[in-house]
Amino acid sequence: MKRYVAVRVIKALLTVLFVWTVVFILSRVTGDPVDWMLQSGGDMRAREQLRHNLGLDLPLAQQYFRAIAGMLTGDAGTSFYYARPVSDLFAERMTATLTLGAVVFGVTILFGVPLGVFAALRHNSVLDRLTMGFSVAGYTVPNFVLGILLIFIFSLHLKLLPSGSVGTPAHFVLPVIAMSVAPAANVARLTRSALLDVIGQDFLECARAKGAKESRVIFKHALRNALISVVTILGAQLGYIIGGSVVVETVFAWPGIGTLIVNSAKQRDFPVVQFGVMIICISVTAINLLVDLSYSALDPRIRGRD
Amino acid sequence: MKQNKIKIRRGIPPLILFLMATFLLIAIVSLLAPVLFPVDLKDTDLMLRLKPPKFVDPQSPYLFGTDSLGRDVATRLLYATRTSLIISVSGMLLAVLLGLVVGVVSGLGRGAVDLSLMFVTDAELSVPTTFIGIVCATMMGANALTTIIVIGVTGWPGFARLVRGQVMQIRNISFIECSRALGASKPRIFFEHILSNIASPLIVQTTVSLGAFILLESTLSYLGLGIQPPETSLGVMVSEGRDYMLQNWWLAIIPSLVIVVLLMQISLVGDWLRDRLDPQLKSKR
Repeated sequence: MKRYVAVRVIKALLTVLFVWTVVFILSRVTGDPVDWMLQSGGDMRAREQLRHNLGLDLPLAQQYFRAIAGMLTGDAGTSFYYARPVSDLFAERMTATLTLGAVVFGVTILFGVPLGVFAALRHNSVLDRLTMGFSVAGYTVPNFVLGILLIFIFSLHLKLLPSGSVGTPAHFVLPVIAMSVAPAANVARLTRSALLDVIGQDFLECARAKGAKESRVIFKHALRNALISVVTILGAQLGYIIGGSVVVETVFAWPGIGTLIVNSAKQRDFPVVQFGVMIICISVTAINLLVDLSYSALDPRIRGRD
Repeated sequence: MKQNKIKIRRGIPPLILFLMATFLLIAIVSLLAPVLFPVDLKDTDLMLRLKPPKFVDPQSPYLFGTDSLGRDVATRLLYATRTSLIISVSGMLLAVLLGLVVGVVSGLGRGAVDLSLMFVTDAELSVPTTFIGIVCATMMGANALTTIIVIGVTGWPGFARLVRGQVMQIRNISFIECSRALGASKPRIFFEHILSNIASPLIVQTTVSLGAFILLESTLSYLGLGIQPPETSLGVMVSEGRDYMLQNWWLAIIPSLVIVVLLMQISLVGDWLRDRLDPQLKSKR
């Protein structure tokens, strides 16, 4: 078991290092950042000065290790566009993104899992069909399209809810809907099929024959066995939610890191984009790691193995 | 495997046939747009800006009205669909090619090759596709070529895994040993035996991921990190129309609906194909 944890942790660290290396190489190979910053030219001396200030005149290997050391100490360089430390820019926007993400994840679980469970219990009923229809909508309506439709209906026509920015709980409603429909639909569909796999099995009949109540059979026996798949699904949705947040934040002018990253990408402000991508990569890798490690907590069969 | 091909001819449900036909119609008409409706996308006419569409004002000569720069929305919609389809399909071809090469190499090779290739695939899956697009747009500039590369780069791991799995399953089956013993060349073994045996799952995966690629392209273009005006794609049109939604809602809503229709056609056909070609999965759904 210890060995399993160690191997997984090392693999996660290697993944992060690998992604960082690729991003670093891309940022140095595909063009000269000085060109992007001084689009109108600039004289040679100014260029050299700028190059020196950014540390771009050092050998590549040295730049690489300096950047890693910087990342570890929280010094991720200075934004070209905002002329402020990248870490400050992220720190002040982190809360907005995390609150939105947390609410979306909560809504995804609260709607997705029960919907999937009921659809599986009433297999082939109207509710089941509706859930499956909903799940098709989940992967055929892009989140920015959904966001725009919601703004059109609820903000512009019915004038019920604000179309952007933050402030009151009402500001959460539309972005949360736009972001959670797809993951909730995914969770519902996959929970349904995970539970359907379990429901046909003999040990449930056995539990019923022992006289266990139906609710106990479902929650204690069936759902517990489907739980591993459900946790995997939820973990995967977190990555999806993080990816979706960039788009939805932009649609609703949400002052989080998503809007920051997109605007910086448009300005070719690569220190910001670089840092943003690393934050995302680290979070997704950490989530995947936690999901993998949680299997053993959930499933005694895995716990016994080395 | 041969049996699957027979099965597919046994009849296509009317709904799927309808979806396929409408998708082909959209694809053909939009691909022929420069022949059917030759216009210069850069031409603007501010006198004609924001004219109403036919369904608002039946007298209007413009089917879907004009946009904020006085351009005919219906024509632009065709050009936008054309760009979105061309870019997504080119990206898809790149992804399939990369995935095939990596998958076969990694499935036939053992040990280190396989391990490192799978590590790269895993690593790539730890960055959401939109972010790979954002990084590439920052580093290489936002344009059509970057978008194609992004699609190829984000798409290949899925294909590589699929091909690798299939190749590993069949590489030791005796008919391949046999043809090797008979002196068949490596390319011949690859095309005749391996490729024909992994064709069905590959077709399913390709169809399903085409939807994801169209989604990625339109998302990047919507964010301003894909196709740049005056060129247009569906995402660009949604983003341009967004600012005029109070009075001229159709500017954003019509291209949005085109995206939804395309994705729906592709995903429903893809689901059906999967059920048809991959009977093992059917019971799960």
